[in-house]
Amino acid sequence: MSVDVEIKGFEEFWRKDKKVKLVIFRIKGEKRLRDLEIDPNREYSEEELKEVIKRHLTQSGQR
Amino acid sequence: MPSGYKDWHKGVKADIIAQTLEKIAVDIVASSIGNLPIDIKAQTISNLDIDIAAQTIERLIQSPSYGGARQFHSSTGADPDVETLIGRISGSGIIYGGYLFWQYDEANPYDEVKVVIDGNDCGSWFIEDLAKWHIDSGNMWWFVVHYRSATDYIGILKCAEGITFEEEFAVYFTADPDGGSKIVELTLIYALR
Repeated sequence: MSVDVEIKGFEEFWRKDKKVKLVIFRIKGEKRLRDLEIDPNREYSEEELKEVIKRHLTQSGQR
Repeated sequence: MPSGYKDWHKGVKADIIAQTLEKIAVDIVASSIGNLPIDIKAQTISNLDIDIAAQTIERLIQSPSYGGARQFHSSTGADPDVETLIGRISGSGIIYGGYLFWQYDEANPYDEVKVVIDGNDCGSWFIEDLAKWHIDSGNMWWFVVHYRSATDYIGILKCAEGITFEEEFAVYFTADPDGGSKIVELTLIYALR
């Protein structure tokens, strides 16, 4: 089943010496926000990012 | 143009009006009532709870939506005389509060904090000056002095409440050029729209 995601924003922070970037998103129809760690050194287009999120949701069994 | 068709334009006109009203109704829900010269009666007055004749809102409840809030946490080393990005939140949202925690050194107290909101450099302060000038409460600056101690080597700045941002909220830290590297931790409670 296809899932529609809405990207809300990003968090960039450090875990000690490792730079971490999270994309904050919401599955349309849900209230809760979810996050997913992405490559902090790479630029993603919105569509690319949505595909990464959808793949993650499918592979993790969340959708 | 279908000029041979009597009153052809009336049907077209009616359709346009219907579509326009539908769009305006959406705008009202989005709370941009003030600038709309429209027939309010045709819209959703009952849901807005507004006394149109008196031009007043009987009751306005403003409250944070903690249910949608997130905790942000970052921890890293900051070298002397080097501006280090401690953390950045991108998107459109609000900071409900938070704190900046670091290893305070009384001998080298000129650590500097800088805040960038929506790409604008919103200024920077030395921790020592924040303390000297008693910038220590409310929304006197983006961060205010909460606690600092030379005996237990702790410095804590409290983040002002209710800071809104449309694109980003970022915090930078520069350790005193005459001191050593410091471990800095940033925690924020925030929500995205």
